[in-house]
Amino acid sequence: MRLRYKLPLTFAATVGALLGLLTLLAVLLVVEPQWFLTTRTVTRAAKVFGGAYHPRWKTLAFDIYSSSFQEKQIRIRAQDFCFENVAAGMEGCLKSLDVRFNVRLYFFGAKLTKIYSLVLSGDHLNLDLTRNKPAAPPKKSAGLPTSLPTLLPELLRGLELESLEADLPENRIVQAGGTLKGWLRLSLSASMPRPMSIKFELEHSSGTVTRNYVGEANLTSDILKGMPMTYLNGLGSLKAEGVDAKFKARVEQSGPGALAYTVSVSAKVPARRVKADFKGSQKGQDLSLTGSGGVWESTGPVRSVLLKNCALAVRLKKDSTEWNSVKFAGNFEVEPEALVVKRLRRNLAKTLEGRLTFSARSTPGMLAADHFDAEAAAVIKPVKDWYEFYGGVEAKVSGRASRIQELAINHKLDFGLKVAKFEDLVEFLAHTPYSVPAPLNVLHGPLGLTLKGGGDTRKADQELDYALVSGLAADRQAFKFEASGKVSAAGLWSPGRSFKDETSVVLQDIALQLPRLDIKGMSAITPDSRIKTGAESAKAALAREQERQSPGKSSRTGMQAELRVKTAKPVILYSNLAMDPVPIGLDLNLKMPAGSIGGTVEIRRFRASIFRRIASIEYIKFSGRAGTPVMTIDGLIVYQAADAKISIRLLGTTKRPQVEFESNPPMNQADIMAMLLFGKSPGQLDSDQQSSAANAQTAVSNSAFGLASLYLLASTPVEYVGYDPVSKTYSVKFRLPGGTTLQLGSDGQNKGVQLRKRISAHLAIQTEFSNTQTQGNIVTTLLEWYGRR
Amino acid sequence: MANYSARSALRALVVLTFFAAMSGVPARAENSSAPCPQIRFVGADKIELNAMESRLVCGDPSTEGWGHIPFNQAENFLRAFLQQRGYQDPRFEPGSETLTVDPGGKTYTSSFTVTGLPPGINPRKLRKIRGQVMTPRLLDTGKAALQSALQNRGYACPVIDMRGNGTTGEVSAEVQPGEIYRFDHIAAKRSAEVDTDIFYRYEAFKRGQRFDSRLLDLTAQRAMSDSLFLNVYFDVNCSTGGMTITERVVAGKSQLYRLGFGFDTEGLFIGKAQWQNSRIGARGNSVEATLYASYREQSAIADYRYFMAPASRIFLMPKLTFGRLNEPQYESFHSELALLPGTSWDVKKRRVEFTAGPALEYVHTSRGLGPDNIYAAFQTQLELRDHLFEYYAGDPRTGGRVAFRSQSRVAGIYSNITAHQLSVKGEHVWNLGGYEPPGLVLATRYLAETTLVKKSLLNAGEVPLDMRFFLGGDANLRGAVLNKVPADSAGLLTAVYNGVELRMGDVLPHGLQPLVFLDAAIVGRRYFKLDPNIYWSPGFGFRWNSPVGSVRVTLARGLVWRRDRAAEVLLKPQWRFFLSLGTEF
Repeated sequence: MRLRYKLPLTFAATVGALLGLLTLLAVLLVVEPQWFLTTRTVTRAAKVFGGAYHPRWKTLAFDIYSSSFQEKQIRIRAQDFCFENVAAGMEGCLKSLDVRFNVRLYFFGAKLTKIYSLVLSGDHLNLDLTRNKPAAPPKKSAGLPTSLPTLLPELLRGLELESLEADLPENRIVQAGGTLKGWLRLSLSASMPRPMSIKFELEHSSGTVTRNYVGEANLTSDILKGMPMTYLNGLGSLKAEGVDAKFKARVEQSGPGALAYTVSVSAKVPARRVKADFKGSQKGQDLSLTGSGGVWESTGPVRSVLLKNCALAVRLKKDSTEWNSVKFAGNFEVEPEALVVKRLRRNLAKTLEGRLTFSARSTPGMLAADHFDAEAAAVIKPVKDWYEFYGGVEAKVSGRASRIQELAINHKLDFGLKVAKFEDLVEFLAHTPYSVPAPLNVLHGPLGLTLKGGGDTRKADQELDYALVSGLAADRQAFKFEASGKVSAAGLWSPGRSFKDETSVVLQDIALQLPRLDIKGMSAITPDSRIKTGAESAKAALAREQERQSPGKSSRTGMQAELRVKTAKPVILYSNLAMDPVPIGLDLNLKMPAGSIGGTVEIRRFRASIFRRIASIEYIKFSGRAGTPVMTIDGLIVYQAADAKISIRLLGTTKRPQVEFESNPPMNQADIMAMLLFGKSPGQLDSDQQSSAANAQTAVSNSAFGLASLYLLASTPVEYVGYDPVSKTYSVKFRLPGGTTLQLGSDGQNKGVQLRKRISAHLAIQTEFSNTQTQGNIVTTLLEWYGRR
Repeated sequence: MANYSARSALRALVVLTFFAAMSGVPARAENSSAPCPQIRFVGADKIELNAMESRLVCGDPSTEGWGHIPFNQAENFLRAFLQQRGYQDPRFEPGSETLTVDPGGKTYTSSFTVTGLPPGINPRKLRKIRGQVMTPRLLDTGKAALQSALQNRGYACPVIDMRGNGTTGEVSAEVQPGEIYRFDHIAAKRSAEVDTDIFYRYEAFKRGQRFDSRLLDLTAQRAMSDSLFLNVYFDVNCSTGGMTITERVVAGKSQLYRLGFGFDTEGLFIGKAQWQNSRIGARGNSVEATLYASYREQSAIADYRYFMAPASRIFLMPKLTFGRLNEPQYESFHSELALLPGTSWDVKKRRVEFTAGPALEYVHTSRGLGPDNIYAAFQTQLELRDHLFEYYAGDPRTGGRVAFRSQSRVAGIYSNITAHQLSVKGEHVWNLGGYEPPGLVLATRYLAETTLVKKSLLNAGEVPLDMRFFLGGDANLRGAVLNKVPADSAGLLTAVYNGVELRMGDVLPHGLQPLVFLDAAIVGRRYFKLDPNIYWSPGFGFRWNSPVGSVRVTLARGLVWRRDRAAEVLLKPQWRFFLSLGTEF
């Protein structure tokens, strides 16, 4: 029974003694920690508990001093201290480490309250972030900090730092985007009134690209002076090759639960300068930002883009950093680089001004917590100068922020440009590569262009409508038309995107004067496309090579165009080669790049002087055929000769026009040609003229003459027509006013080897094999006058 | 002697100077480096724009809307105009008031590459392309040369795509020769007056032979030379169905009259008047009368050619000739009535003509040694003539011809003498290197003739002049005076001659073609017997392809290689100058 009572008592006494002993030891550890925490025990503990880092050192000294029951000062000094954790990708060595800090003990823990001094010197630190395991998903935020101390990590809150000297000369961080190498110096002394200085030099290598950065920053805060943190100022710069960036930022406690921010950033990078100044505040769940910023470009079509008087208001969800609503409004100014047109005598504008607005609100549904709806708009302030310009873009976006690629975006755009006086545009473009050509450059009147588009931005197929209206005219010339069209993009967001343009032009009133042309001295007015120079030649050779390697493939292009042209009233052309104005009706449908021409071009009735008489061109109709740029011709010209009425029918194609003659009374084709060319009945022609008429008739029936040559043949007195049916080449000798003649041919080379060579009417050089008594068989060439009867 | 040579040389110099002046020295160009104040040309080359070009680049105040040409538009026009002048890479510097144009240098063709050519055509043989100024016209020239080369070899329907690189000077052509075609069916145009089959007489090819555009042309030229029609040509049409040839004619009036003029320093002015009617009946029989006159020879010839059938080449030709010869050694009048049946046929490369028939001759020698008598004679002539020699007769470059002739008189058959004349005459031309157009043309001509007759008849003056030979002059020995070897009126009974001429082709500007030559002859006073001395004459000159025919000027030195000092010398060494309009080698 006694045992029954003694045993528990003994056990309780033992436990009590042990607890007391432990309590005593704990009290002693708190009161006199130096008894327990010596260099030896700390060294032992470091090796046991920090085994994963393999710590090692040359010398290590640990001192602890108990300044009160709670406050403990600790000093750790080490020489050649190294550590390595292969699994964490961390390795480093410090030549010397001397840190003295104060720790406050609590019942269930301890807190670092002050660092008296921290001196770190060399040698190197290596960190391989590519070995780190994927980071755990961030914990759900409890919302934005509402006071400055809460900006700091928990460990550092309330920490007082007196002196800091860190000199880490060789540091290396390996990460997925490249390797960072550099040195870092930190310096802070509480005894001296200066901010905390941070200096570093970095070398970032990624692939074959290496960039060097030199940066420095000064931080001031009352926390660095041993006081509670009420503000934090930062001032710094970053320099690299072609980069010079500076920043200045301040965050301060502006009231209970309210923070105020000020940020000023400026940076210069190659060909670009950026500057931004913003002020903001945060109170509760509301975050607001106001300020201005801009980008200045030294190259490209835009000189600068400025955002002024911007205001951003963000409301966050309760106890979260996720936004609930966002509103942005600001003015923008875009200064174009004068449309990249050099040598402009006057500026196109001016800076484009406008207003940019954006608003978004979170609209979580049943399953999509990050769903939102947003609207954005950029409206250009109308420009009124010698031209008028207006425009704007609107967009609506909705979807989930975490699924940006699935956002539903609808846009709408509307732009307009109007020139009230065409002469202003002519003057504007004068002396530039885009000068308005003659005879259009003398026209006056308005010209307007509008662009409109809209729809689902994410759709692969997009459309843009445009319209161009011209009301140009001057004297008897006019250039009035309405053009409207649509540019469609298919597969816009994929590499195989293609574009199609459909334009419809209604020619309301077109009357143009053609240049004065001379039959003699007529030159080609466009360069011969067979001769190319420089890069143009190499490009053509490449295209041919591609065509040769994969026929048909190179002709496929991502751009197609279809142009429909109609005349409300006939186009009138004035030419010195035509007696009357030439009326032309158009109903055309051109397709590119196929080059096919559909529809018709109809030259309507007018009078012209052909074959020395006034003839009536009843009609000449050019009709397009599917899949080819060559058009068929159907024309009728009625010619009243002295003894007969001749109908000239133009048939065939533009490439090979054919001419057929009908007459009343009936005559054969050669006889009609004789009458047309020489104005005489066949019986009155001399042999030379008969030959010319026959040659001309054969050349015409063989389609050897082009349309221009046919016109020339009809409009100019002909002296002689020669024709080589094998090579399909002709030569025509025209009789020009003043008695001169003009020889034209369809090639640059005559055979030159003929037994008989005509020189002029009734005159030829005849080569023949002759037999004379004195010289025997010889080849002689005589200058010969000839005739027939 | 010395004075004579000096006079010849002086005449040559004067003539050369005259033709050099005629060859067209361009008038000194007006400085037009600024066609208008707003366009200014810089650079070494002066650019002259014609009136229309100036209006297009400078503006035309008299034409509404064209008074002011913007520089960019003027630049486009100028690019075209300069391109036609060979300036392929001009530079433009627009200023506030002036467009400065630096035409740069002309682009010369550095290479000419052709792809797709069939074997047998070497583009390197096409001259006048490499080294020439690159212009659109040069591309046309290149295309025409290739087309001609192909169409001469059977490729009647080639497709040729020309390109030029204005920077490097490379000209290239892509050729699709198409099929080889043959002369097969030729669609004939019916004429009311003659049978269409008569064209068989003129065809310079055999049916089934490979197509050659020159032979078609030659066929047409033959028909026109014969004055059958005013104009004849063959229409060659290419289509997907193949090639078709259609014969087209312009009949004109049936009677042709011609009056021709030539000139040379031997016969002075040469005149020829001809009347011809080649459309007698449906068979196309012809009648012709010709008057020929030079200082030394006058003749009148009338003949009638009667064909056996429309398609037949066999004909019967009665021919009446009256002639007068006036040489320093002799003067004679002769007349002849001949009845000459004949025929011709064309094989693949040449034409063969044969005539043979009796003739009745009257000869009257009014001065010098010669008979005054009437003879019956039998004449034959066989001539082989290459088609290409005939085609290029106006500018000899290839081919040749050879003619064999005989003339016999037999005593007792309306003749008091027996004499037989045999001769072979020919000439051949080669285009050295085969270049087109030719760079060098080598030509040779030869003659071998003899008359078998008794010496006594010759001494008695019974052998008519046309059976005796006289050399000298442009037709053979150019270092001798016309028909002055020998200088007496007895003449020769045997003569062998060969001449070689090397002529530069179309190389020098203005159509000038220098030439050198060497003629050599060996002759005899008896038939089939040649004297030992060789008469030779080196010389030089030029041919000018003038707008009114070929002009030839030569200067030759007649020399004697005396192989036997005792032998008779028939030539006095001397310089001979010769100028002609219309005579070819």
